[in-house]
Amino acid sequence: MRRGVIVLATLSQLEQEQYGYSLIKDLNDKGFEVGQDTLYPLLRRLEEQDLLNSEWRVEDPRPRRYYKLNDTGYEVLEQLKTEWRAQVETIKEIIK
Amino acid sequence: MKLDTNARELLDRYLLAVKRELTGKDRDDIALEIESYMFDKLEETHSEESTVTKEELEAVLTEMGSPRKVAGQYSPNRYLIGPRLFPAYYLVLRIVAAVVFGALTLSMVISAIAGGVENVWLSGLEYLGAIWSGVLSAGAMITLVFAIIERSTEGKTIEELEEFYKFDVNNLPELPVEEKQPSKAGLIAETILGVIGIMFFSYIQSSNGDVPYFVNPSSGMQTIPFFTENFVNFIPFIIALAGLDIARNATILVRGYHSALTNWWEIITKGASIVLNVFLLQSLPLITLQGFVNLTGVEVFQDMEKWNNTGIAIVLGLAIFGTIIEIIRKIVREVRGPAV
Repeated sequence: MRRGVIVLATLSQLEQEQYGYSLIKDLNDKGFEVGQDTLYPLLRRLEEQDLLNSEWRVEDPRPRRYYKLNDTGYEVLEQLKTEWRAQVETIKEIIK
Repeated sequence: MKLDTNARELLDRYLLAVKRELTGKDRDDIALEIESYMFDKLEETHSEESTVTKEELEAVLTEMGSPRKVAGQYSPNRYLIGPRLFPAYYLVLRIVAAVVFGALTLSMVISAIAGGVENVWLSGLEYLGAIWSGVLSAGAMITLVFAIIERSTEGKTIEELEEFYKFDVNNLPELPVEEKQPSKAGLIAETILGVIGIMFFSYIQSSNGDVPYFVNPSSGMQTIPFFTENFVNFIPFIIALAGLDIARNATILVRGYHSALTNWWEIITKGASIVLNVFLLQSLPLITLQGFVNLTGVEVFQDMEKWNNTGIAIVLGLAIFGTIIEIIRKIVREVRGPAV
């Protein structure tokens, strides 16, 4: 279950461009614990699935790889959000 | 923030170890991203002007875990043998393949020396067939055993395998020295020499062992027998080995680095060259100076022919011995610390 949630959480934070470490911080600050060992390989898989675009940029003065949702990624994110909300409602009904 | 010299070297060694565990074209990119992450992580605790020491970096690396574990996160597609068992499986596979290859090559060399070679083509094909079926069946057996272990121990911790994930920064591989990096000029020179060699031996085969010589402008270019039929029979093998070397050099040139593929490729080519040299040794004389005797009438060429073939036998013997040592060294290096 967590696996699917990580994908949703990650995609949801990439509407704005972020590099790996800032994304980990972002998720952790919001209470969603995730480590680099999970996130970096996941980002690569999502990019391979053509949900993200990435590019290396040199800043400060070393390179960082920035990730951002592409059009397909936005579509998939919206689908996942809808599915997630529906499941939450279903589970609420089941466990009340 | 910057790393001091020792910390920089430690980081480079860690990244090298990670790359050695990765396959595919993305490994440099993955290593660069891990490096970027480490700097971000260090920036949390270090000011812009500070210098990170080796000890401080060690703490970050230890928290990240062993290079094998880090690399394993990027290799999710080994379904038959999962990431948990794959390091042990790959190590056993490499050791067994090297042992089978070495044992078969050695037995071939011994049987060729002891019993001689009656049919070069048949013996060569037998050798290749034995290597192919031996390595393949050993590999299949190991894969089967590990696949059974994978499924029968799913979700369980195997204590013996924990060794593969134990991490001590002192055990990271040393950085390769500059000389071990591929030299483009050297590879190009080797390739050109290989092509010239192929052209030369193709000509020798077409001339059935005769070599050209120039007498005077009126008679033009003449040919004279030099290589024996025994030698000419081996020319297709010599050309095939030269072709394999050229293809290997081209692969390194395109990739820009030595890889496990090109290193094993070299080991196999060298193994085949040992077999070729043993066959050549069994087929003396390889050159004849009878043409010079006929041409000049000087009998001394007759004695020279005997001594030249003895010299060739010594050179071939030394080449076989040297290549065996080199192959053992390369196999040990590849098994203990494979190229990235």
